[in-house]
Amino acid sequence: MALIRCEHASLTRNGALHATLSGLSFDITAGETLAVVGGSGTGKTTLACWLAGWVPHAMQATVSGVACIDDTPLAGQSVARLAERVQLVQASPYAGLTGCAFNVAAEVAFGPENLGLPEAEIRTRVAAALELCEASDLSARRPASLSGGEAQRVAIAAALVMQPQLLLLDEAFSRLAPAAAGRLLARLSALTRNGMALVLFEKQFDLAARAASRILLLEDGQQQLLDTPAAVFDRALDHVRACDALRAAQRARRAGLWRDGVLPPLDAATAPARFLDVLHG
Amino acid sequence: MHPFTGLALMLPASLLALRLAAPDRLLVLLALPLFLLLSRPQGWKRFRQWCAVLLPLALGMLLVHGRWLDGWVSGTQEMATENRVEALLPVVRLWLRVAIVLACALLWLSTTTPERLMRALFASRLPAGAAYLLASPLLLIEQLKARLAAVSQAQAARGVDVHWSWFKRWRSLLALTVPLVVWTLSDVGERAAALDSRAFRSRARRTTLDAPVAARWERASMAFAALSAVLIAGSFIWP
Amino acid sequence: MAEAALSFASVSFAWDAVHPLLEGISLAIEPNECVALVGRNGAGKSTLFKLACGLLKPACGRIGVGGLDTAKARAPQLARQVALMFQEAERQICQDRVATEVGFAPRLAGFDAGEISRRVTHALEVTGLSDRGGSHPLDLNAGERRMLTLASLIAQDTALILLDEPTRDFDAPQLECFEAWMSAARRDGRAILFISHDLDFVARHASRVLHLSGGSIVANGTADEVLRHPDLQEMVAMAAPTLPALCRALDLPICTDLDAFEQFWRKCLG
Repeated sequence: MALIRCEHASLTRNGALHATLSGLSFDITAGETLAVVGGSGTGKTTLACWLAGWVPHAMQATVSGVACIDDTPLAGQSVARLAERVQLVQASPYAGLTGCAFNVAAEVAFGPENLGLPEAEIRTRVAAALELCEASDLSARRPASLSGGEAQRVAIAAALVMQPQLLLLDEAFSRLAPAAAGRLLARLSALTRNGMALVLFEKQFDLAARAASRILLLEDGQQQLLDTPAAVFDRALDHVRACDALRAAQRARRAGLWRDGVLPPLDAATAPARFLDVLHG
Repeated sequence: MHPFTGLALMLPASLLALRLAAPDRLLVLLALPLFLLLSRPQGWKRFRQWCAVLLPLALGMLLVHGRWLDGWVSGTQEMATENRVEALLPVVRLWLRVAIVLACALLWLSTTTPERLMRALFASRLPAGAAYLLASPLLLIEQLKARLAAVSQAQAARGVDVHWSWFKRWRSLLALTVPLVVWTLSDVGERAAALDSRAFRSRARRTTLDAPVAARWERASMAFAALSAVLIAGSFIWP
Repeated sequence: MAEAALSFASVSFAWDAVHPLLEGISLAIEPNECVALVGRNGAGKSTLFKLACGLLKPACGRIGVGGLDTAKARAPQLARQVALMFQEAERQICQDRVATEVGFAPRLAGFDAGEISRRVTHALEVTGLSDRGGSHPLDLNAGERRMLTLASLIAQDTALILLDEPTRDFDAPQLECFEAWMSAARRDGRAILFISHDLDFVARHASRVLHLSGGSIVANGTADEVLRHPDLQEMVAMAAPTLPALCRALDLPICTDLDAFEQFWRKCLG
């Protein structure tokens, strides 16, 4: 049974002339990783906030169509109550800081404290979340003194500590070095094996394709494609970034310098093999 | 020491300061917190803070209420000394009362840290929202300082000179304060959303890690303080 | 001999006495050069940029920007020589309209209205923001806001440009626009020093790469030489820069741009 279900859903922000998002039809099941990719201003962040229950209190908008979590409409939910199940990590790492914690450990513990969990459990969860995000050495630091990359790791830890059913990451790796981002993403993918659903909102194809089984491509707020990374490859790279090896593959395919039946590479490591498949058949 | 203990004891002390009228008694009441303050670690620093407020206040009050300022400005005849002393009495009383309250407040602050106070607020019976409102200013100064530094650097990189004369600087001050204000204001909505995403106020009871615990003597002191406060307040009504 | 656009002579810097951050850094960037600065998070790259702009003063050594000593020159003088794009674009925004924001630095420098208007129009055109001149900067999306800081830089019109993670918020079309500007700026003779985690981008544009580690410059060479280091990325077969790595894997002549690769690949397929 789907955790999130959208059918012909659309959203118009207050004061906007056109629909910000339209034609959304997808579902997310437990344990799945979905990536939503699109260029700047195509509505990724709006969709992330919608899934986190921000409409209409934290984001004034009118919605239509079906957009539900466990068959309850997303719009009108109390964000605070929904926070136990859905966690959003925003693009700006400082936006998620509460402003009432003197150190990182207290910042991360704030959420479980609000849930009224026993002290011992809170401490265990906080230690585990910081460990997973490679942020254990930051626990005594003041949140205001964190660099962008450090703040991102803390923000992800603060979301994980709530043990959500659905984790939404809105360009949450943008300030991390590629190696660190890859490691963190691998650990989060491991968590999905325990049933957590993961949605990545990205402008980087490599990162999205690495972890996601399906990619939803947004153009101008409209859902254009919802398919495997290989099927979305050609069109997605017109809008989002990718390493040079992938871009070379896209150009080769566009120019007819490819072989039918050979899938495009999804990351740099597999690029040579695919090109060789094209060469040798 | 639990942060609320000192705060509770401040209440009867302040009420007593209001109740007493004789300057010599007020002086005795002032001596006690000042002595305790000086005996605390970093006591001299806080004493200097106390002086920094009270001494200019004394000077100002003397000038105004002692009618010296009046005399200089309007050029009227000098007052007789006894009249002057009489005029000064209520002023001295007022100054002593302010001095006592400030000394007690500084003494209380020396017994706790902002972090412990924040935890005590969240662990108390106050509604979580009210606790947040009272607690978040404790961190605000630090955040504003960090932001001001970031904004200053950004503007200096574009040519805003912090060494300019005040005349030239007024325009650039806008360049510094506008981003700071916009940033802080846009922050309000963001903070509300951030708190909600951490399930703030979603449950009736919240846990507070490392909540300060009031020892038995502290609970007794707080009860004693409350009782004293009631008695002293009562003495206003029944002299 | 032309003056170096930027020079560091045995520069050291520390936030406190116990932990030195930069020690004995010496480097020179000539006009017309495009140099990348890479290194781990916390290595001190952004701090080096702030030193280069005169926002921080070195503990010892001398930093020269276009003939000026950063320790002695004042902010307005330095702002005419060097412009800095910060990692966090929002910190700099202080006006309520895009056009006024772009014109901020020229106004401070005291140019007349005509010159300011010319610079602003040009900057907005190059960055594709011409139709957003009247919008509020915070109404722009993240990529557009970064384009806005680029436009402010263009209007500042300096010989040396420092870019801290310039491509972070861009999508593919915005990146193309940005790269076009970078090529044009180099042709104009400007010196560019940039920090980036996108190693393919570094390889596409940097004629030289400096690796900052442990407080000093540990490598100074071409992208292919410097980027293959465990500090910067995992040492796998297809480590960045990925295009030369792909060429090596396919036994094609090494190339660094996509047009050349397409030609080689076309020939290869026969």
